[in-house]
Amino acid sequence: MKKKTLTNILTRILVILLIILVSAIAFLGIQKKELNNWKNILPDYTLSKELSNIRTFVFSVDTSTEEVEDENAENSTNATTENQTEGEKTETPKKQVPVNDPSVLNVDNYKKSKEVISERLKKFGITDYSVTVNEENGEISVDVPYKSITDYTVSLGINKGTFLLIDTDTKENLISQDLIKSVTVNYKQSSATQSTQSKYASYDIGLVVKFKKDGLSKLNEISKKYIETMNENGEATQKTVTVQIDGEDRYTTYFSPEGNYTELFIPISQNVSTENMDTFNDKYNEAAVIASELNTESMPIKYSLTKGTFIESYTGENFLKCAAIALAVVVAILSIILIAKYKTIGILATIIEIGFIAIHSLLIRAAVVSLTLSGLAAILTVTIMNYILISMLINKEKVIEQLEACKKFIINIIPFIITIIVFAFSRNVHLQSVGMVAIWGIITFIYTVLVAMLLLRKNKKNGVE
Amino acid sequence: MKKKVLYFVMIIAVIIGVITIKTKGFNYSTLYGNHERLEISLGSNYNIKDIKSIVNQTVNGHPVVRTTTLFKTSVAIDSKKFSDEDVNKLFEKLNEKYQLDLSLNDIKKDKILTEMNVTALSEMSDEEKNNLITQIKEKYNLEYTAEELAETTSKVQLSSVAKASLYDMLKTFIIPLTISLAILMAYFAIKYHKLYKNAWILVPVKLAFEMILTQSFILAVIVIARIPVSTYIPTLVTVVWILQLIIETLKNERALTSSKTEK
Repeated sequence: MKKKTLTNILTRILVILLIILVSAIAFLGIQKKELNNWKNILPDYTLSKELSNIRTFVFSVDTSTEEVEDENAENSTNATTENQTEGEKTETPKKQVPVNDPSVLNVDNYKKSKEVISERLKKFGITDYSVTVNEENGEISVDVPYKSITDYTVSLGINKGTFLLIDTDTKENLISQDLIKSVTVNYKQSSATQSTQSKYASYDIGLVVKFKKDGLSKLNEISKKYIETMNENGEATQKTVTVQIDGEDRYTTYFSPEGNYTELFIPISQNVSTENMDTFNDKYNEAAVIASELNTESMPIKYSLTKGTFIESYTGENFLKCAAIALAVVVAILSIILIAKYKTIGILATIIEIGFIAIHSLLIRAAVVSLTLSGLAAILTVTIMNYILISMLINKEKVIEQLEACKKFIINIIPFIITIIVFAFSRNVHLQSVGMVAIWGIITFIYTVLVAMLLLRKNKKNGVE
Repeated sequence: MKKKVLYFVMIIAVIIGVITIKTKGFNYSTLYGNHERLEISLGSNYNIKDIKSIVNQTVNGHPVVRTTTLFKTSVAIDSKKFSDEDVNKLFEKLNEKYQLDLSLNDIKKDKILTEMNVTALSEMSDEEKNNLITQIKEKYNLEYTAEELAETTSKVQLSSVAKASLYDMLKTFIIPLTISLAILMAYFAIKYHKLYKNAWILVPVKLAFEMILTQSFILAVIVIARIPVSTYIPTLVTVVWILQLIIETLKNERALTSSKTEK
């Protein structure tokens, strides 16, 4: 009997020490010496643009001009290009025209451009953004958080996002963007890897273009025509198509006449080695930028980047400190209530509550949950819910009674669980933050229940076992 | 009865709110409404608290001061509108404190050159430049030297920032909130269908009505009381939604327990 009591005491002491250790790790971090400084090796909190530095990009309507062929001019002494065909020298007159036709510069197109940029950011995976438009001059301002993924915001803002499949020789338009159903990013092992002995695989990263019904039949029609053939001398000649993205030739290919094409793979970066994964990810993201552009409408106006800067968050740098202090005050009040009400067992309950906050904060950081103001409110909510759970589990004599209390608690929070699951899957950064914080909070409730079973049961004789 | 009065008051507030939105719109805070941003390059030897104090003494219109650039070498001051008088006062104090030579002319230069359609200043002859300086003095009552006009880098920059749309802020809430509400209505209908007669339909309808009414009421209060729309709105919407949901659940659970006890 004595041995059992001793084991119980030792188990409890061990659990308490573990909670203190985890709390120390969560609140103080694991420090490692790096050069002359100590650095916390634990991952930092991922903060939304409400709470961290913001990147602000300003896109203005492009007022530059471009050189185009002047079909109306008969003779021009200005800019000309020389096209030589079979020794004959012909000159094509050129003229300068604005990149944006003045007729497209109106409020509707400014608003549409704003919508397109918003949609592209969302499709690319940047959900924490704000886009505003100056309806007088069309200037678009984009605010995104300071993260590496937001490096691609500029490309998403300035590219028009046009797709054309053309005949390489005649430049005839074969398939246009309106026949595209969807564009995704994929990578295929490149032929270079198969031939070399490198221990790192290399891939062709590109776009998988799926077409609508009309587009698909057009593609299969093209695939019978643009093929490799043999001429009279037995030499192979290819009739090729070129993929143009934003007016730039990105890929030239021909088809296999036997092939039944359901999609088209367009390599954007070829032979990318996995030796350096940062480079690989950069190339993948570059392709994802193009995919996001092609999955949305084309920009009605061409924009150029006029300003890009970092700016402090809306809430200011002291806000997080104030929020942490506010949480500490709430925990202190809850702890005082627990200790005043339950004395010694109240102290143990306080340790469990602090342990809950510590484990929850570690999980949030490990899971890279983006914290918004709403997310901070969710941390407070789950902390208070944990206090309620502890209050329900405290002073029960038997494990079965604690399990009953636990069941009652779960039944009461089922609607809350349903809501946060929906929130976690939403594309709204605030709801996502609330959902993820609360889901990790609910998972951490398991810790509370298990530890409460060990530490918070009441002894019939002594009050505390 | 009390509840009916409460519903009535809330519905009236929502109607007044809708009318106010149509007539006056929301009252946006400085950072969320149409405003101007003055960016000043100060280097690293400044104290943001001092800058905030100077700005509050000199600039009207609820200015917001924040550091900019990665190394915090500049500050951005956002205000509804910068008057020439305010800017002069601000620059005077900053010049005095940090030995700078900020001038209102620096801010206006780009705008003036754009208005006067001056594109290639470097290609202008001295005579043309002198003419331009005279024209600017006559038209804007501002004096520039040829060097000042040619200077391409400026320590100050004034730009306008368009307002953030509250609709944009809230539109992405609609689908997830609707989905969660629909699932919750089904859950409430199944769980509390025995509470009273027709509870299977009345409980979920009441839940939806109360949740939507509360959210609408909050927005109505914000617009009627002219509370500035700012970054707190999404948090408020989410927190109120969750709290109300928890309260409704607890209320129904209590009613279910007491009905079981009675039986």
